[in-house]
Amino acid sequence: MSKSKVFLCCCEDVTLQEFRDAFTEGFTELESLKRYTGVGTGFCQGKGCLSEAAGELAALRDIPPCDVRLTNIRPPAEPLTFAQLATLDVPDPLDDPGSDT
Amino acid sequence: MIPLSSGPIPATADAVIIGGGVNGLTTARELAREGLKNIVILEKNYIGSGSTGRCGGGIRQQWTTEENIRLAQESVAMYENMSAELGYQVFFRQGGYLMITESEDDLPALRDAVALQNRCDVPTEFLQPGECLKLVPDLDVSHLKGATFCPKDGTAYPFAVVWGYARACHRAGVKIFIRSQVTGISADDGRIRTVHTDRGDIATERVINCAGPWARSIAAMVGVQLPNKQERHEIMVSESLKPFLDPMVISITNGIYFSQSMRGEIVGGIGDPSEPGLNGPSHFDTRSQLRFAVRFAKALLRYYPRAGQVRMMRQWAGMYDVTPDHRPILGGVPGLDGYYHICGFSGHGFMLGPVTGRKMARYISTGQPDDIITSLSLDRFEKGDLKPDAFVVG
Amino acid sequence: MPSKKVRIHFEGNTLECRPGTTVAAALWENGVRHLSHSPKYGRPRGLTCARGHCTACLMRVDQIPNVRTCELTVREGMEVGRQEAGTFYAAPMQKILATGSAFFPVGFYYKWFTRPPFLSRLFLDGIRPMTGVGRLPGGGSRPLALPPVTETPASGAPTATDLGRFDTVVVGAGPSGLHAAATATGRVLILDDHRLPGGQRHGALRRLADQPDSNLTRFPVLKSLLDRIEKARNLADTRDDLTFLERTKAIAGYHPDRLVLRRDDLLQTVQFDNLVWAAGALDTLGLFPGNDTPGVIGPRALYRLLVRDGLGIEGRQVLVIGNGPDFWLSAALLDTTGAKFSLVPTGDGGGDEISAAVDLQWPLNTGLTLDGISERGEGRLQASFVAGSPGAGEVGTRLSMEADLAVICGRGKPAYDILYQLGANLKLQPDLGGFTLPLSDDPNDGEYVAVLSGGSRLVAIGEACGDLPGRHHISADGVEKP
Repeated sequence: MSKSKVFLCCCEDVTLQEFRDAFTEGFTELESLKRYTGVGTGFCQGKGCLSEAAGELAALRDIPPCDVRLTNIRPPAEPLTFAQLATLDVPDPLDDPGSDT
Repeated sequence: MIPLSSGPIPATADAVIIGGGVNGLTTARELAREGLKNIVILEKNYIGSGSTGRCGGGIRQQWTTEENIRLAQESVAMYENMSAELGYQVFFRQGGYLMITESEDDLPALRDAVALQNRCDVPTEFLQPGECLKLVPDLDVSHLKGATFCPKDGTAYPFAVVWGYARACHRAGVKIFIRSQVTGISADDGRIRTVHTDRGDIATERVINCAGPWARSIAAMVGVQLPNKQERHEIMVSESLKPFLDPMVISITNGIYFSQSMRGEIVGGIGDPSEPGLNGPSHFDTRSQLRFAVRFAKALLRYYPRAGQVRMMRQWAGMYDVTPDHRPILGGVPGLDGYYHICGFSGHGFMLGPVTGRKMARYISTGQPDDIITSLSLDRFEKGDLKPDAFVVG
Repeated sequence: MPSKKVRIHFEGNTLECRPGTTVAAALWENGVRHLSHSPKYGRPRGLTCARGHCTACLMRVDQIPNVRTCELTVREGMEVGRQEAGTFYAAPMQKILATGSAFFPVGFYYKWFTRPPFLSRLFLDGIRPMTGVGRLPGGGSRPLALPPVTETPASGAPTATDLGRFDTVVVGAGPSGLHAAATATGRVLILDDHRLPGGQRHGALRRLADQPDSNLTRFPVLKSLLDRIEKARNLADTRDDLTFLERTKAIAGYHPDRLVLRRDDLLQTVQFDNLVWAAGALDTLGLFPGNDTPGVIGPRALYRLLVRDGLGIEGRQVLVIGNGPDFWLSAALLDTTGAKFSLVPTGDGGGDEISAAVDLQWPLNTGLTLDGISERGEGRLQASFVAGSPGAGEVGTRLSMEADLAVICGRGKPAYDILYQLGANLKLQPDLGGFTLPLSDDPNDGEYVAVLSGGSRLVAIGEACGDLPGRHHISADGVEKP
């Protein structure tokens, strides 16, 4: 029997067992599981693990997979240097009419 | 154990706190310490999902009015002991705040601020540009005219504070309900009676509005008009690197702030002059814009060129709950017993939340407001009794 | 005339590399299989995705931290090094955490060493040097170089351009994307991170087809894949108003209608009225013991390593485990190299392909289930299998195989990040491989559609929505079934 661990998030060294333990501790949303265990917060920003983590969470909560709310995926989709960004022209602000409340 | 309550919403409570961010959680815990039982927190999303979980985590004492300095000072003292008190690590690191300026015109006010802070026993120093290099060796000081540095300022990890207080709340018997939205509040005869939620009603005599960006709409449910506006602010993190930056750096000139978190990431943001703030409608849209990333990059490289080959990982946005003097609104309102609000922190909720939560809890349980609560009450706007701070950054 | 070798410096040694290969491939050929170490347990990591979306190959190159060496072409005099743990006690601490992980519950660093305050501060001071990966760029004796580029742009220094607005932008020039671009109306831009259009499998399929006595016809599933790709390429060729951006990746999406593109170090922005997302899928290795061992890769990594990077695997042992078209394409591709390979088909189906493999006398081991993979020394893998399907309480026959590389083939995972960034509402659909757009109700739409906040329309097709490669196409008139 292989003694190796099963890694859910390889970037941050989060094993499948640790993810399940965090759920037992009371972290039941993907957003808080992500922050508490580190799943999806590494350099790859979840490409390697968020689908799997969400699937695991659905199983733990016994809900259909499509009911798991995805964490916010923030731009950019791959890291880019400040020097690269600084070469771009500053885009105009978006037209947001805002609200009264 | 993170203690989120499951099961039905209770039919009654001694206090209902609306909002599960830094303000709601610290107030609840302090109220429980004051002896109140049956406290319920209602959070419409998950704890820390609002502005608390989106902020940069900065905590400073470098303000320009004595009142602000004293308040922040008390908060820093709380942060220094917070991990021990909660039995939960909040990762408070006192790397200091280095506030820099490119303008000679700012220097007199900076010197006055330092003197005032020193009189309050806050150990800020005024620095010449070259002296900044001892603190941040790779800083490009060629544009700078002066700076101030307080070694006791620092940063903490917002979610750790949220979880630590949530656990303390749970140990004290507070019930936290997530994914529970307040739909209305009933009052009659000048008293709070019921809080209505999408999961049922709670009869209560006390409701405490800690709803951050939504405080204004919660207040409207009981006819209280808050002058708050919601301002979008964007923030980003870089890749995680070995420690190289100890202080938080803030530029008074262009509003950029950046620091290195305990995870090794540069966390930083910059205000956008195109945000209307008080002069326009509220913006609730927390989606990211390329404009921010480009503006931040250009401003960062102006002061820290060595960050040129450092990579940005992701950016996001949150809201500042902004008041006309950029100071929080505490206390209650005359003619409506049992309603309290703790809001309007204008971007400084994380740094002041613990101390204002403690003061408000004392007020709510004893009925005696202290000077700060009186000074920061809603009626100051009508009275025109405003003491705005000279430097509103970060 | 043979090309002159390129010499790079690695941790005090000079290594010779084939010109045009990547740093990660060159290191692998030189016996360096451990490229980095994980942050908490110090696990060695190495070749994994080979396409620039995981973090196993991050190294320090020419004073720049966290460089994806699988995407970096070797250059004469390059200095490459592994990123260290940060302080003298870091490696021992990592070992303690790894071996004693049962005693260190998840999140232990939130709950321990919190009192008294001086101990808490000591703890933070102690762990701080261990946090972070990679050091701030620069700091060496030479002035900091510009970031290494895979190919120096002809014009010199990188410049940024705004490409303006297109009626339709197609991300991905595989069979689905090419078909969409060929039939879309208005100004169309199509981009792909390969040098030529055709998609992730095109290079491998072409290599197979171009062999004398090619095995392609023995595997109809592969032949039909290649046919679909060529048909789509030909269709796209008939339009002379298509702009094709080669070696270009979409790296960020900003609502409502803007993409940031990258080619080497050059950034460009583009806006669209309609976006066709045909970016395909990523390798998914699955969750099994040892899933992040260096050298455990997916089929798309294999195609990249063999076709673009020319990885020298003559005489090396390669295990191919799994099922589906990628399993057979990997096997057939390996058969064109001098590698020794062994096949472990799993799951149901593939009967025709197995017969073909038997005819070709390929080493086949059926009826096995993967139990885990571990390392036997640097870069040598040991895969453990269980034979048959033992019932509860039974211990099945165990079998292990050694290899230099293990290719795990199955369903890919749609690349969805940018869809979400643009505001698409995604749902987890495990049978489609991961997060995808929900099905559209309108049969005239592509199957997976979202209308974005600014009114722009986003359609995902092909493997980018979990569909099988090249199965559906979208055209101006709607969905075209094969």
